[in-house]
Amino acid sequence: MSRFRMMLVSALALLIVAGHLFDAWRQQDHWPFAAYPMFARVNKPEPFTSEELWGVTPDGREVPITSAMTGIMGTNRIRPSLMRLYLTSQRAKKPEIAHDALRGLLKDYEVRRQREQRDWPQLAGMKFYQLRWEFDWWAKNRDTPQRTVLFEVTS
Amino acid sequence: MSAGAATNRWERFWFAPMAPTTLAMCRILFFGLLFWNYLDDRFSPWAEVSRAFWQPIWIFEKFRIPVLGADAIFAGEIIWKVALAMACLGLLTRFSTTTAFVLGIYLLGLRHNWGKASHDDAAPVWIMLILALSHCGDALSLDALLFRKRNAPEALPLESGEYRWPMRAVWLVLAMVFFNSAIAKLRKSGLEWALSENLAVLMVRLNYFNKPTTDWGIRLANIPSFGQVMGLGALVVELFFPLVLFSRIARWVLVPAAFLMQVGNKVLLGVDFTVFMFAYVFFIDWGWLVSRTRPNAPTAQPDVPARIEEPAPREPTVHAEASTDDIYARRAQVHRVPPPASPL
Repeated sequence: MSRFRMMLVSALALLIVAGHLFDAWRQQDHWPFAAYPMFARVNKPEPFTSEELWGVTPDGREVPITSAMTGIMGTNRIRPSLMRLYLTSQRAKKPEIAHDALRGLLKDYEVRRQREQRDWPQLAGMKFYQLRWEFDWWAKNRDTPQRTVLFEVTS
Repeated sequence: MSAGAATNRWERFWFAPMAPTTLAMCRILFFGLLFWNYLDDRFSPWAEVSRAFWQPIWIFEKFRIPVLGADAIFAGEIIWKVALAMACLGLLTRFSTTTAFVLGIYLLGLRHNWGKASHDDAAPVWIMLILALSHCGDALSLDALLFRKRNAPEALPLESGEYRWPMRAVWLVLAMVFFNSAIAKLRKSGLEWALSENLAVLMVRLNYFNKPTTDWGIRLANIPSFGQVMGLGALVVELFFPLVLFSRIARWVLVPAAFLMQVGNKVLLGVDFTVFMFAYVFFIDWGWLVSRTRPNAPTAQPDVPARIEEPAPREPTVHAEASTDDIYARRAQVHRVPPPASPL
């Protein structure tokens, strides 16, 4: 093995260590370096919240929006993204920031529904709910959260 | 320890000669699993996502990496998947592994720019870089097959440090991942993360969102002290995982423990680290396993440089394409043993 190759490998090893230690020190992610902070905060048996996206059909019926209906984003990404935009719009007192994003999702949904000829309901609006649960050790109340509309749009 | 001794230890750790079979098997399995995992995934729809959700991660912001059009991303994903398959087969290995890394960092990174950064594919990106820089196509590859047919009757390649450092580098990546994960828990929550009801509460709470494949998470969370024992175990495994770099015993204990921990994440919590788990193939001594599965396999030899028999003096045999001098020179380079004196 040449000396140059050995030095190249040593440099790569030092880069891997230094980059990861930097992120651990700053508690930040610089992908593909990361601090890996998932689930690092302590969870307590107390009330907790999540968010959910629902669609509204032209006759006023509410239907849950599944991951397949949201395209590549999936509900796992849409939930935190919409929440971030909602909080930003609240801070900036510009509700249109969150409304425009949700209206864009509604438009994309209709385009996708017609293009892919899916058996999904036609939607006239969308609602972004916050769900709140009392903690239950057996999760018996999983399907009965308190629901509050954070914001909604119509087409 | 003197600087010379430290350098020697560093070089022995990274570059002690090793047969190419283990690295080659890791290449086949790692790229094969990546290909299988991403075969049905589509990346081009990212081009159509509303820019209202655009929240670039560091690498896309710093280097101003754009979201390409749907056609360009589609072309990229086809080339990437072909490159993964070629890297698995060992065809044009340097080119295919490099392509897999370059396109992989773009395609896999793209999805982290939309409000949620996942942590399952960072280690595989590092592993693709490591394999792109390595000689992982020297054995068990179409390249080796074609190369041998064209060039030499000698059973190349020989042992080399080139086949050890990529394995060590992958271990290092995983060590840093688990270590950082432990540090994050200790810095944000301290020992309370393990010693409180935290993990039991998390196991129940994730059942509200993720809908895991079983309800075992809820059942286990209700067993007294189960959460604390698992939490303490997880923290110990993550914090001490870097020991796998130096200790065979640590590898036997911590690697299966980490693997089972991630299986548990999937089954009990619905948290999926499948792509990350492909990295565990680098902890298996495939060379030893392959030698054991062959009929009339020789007993395992200690991991030391092979002794080269001194040939009896005779007339030199000159092959059409490679001389014996050339072979001894190559062996001497690998084993650092002086070549035999020329009989002429």
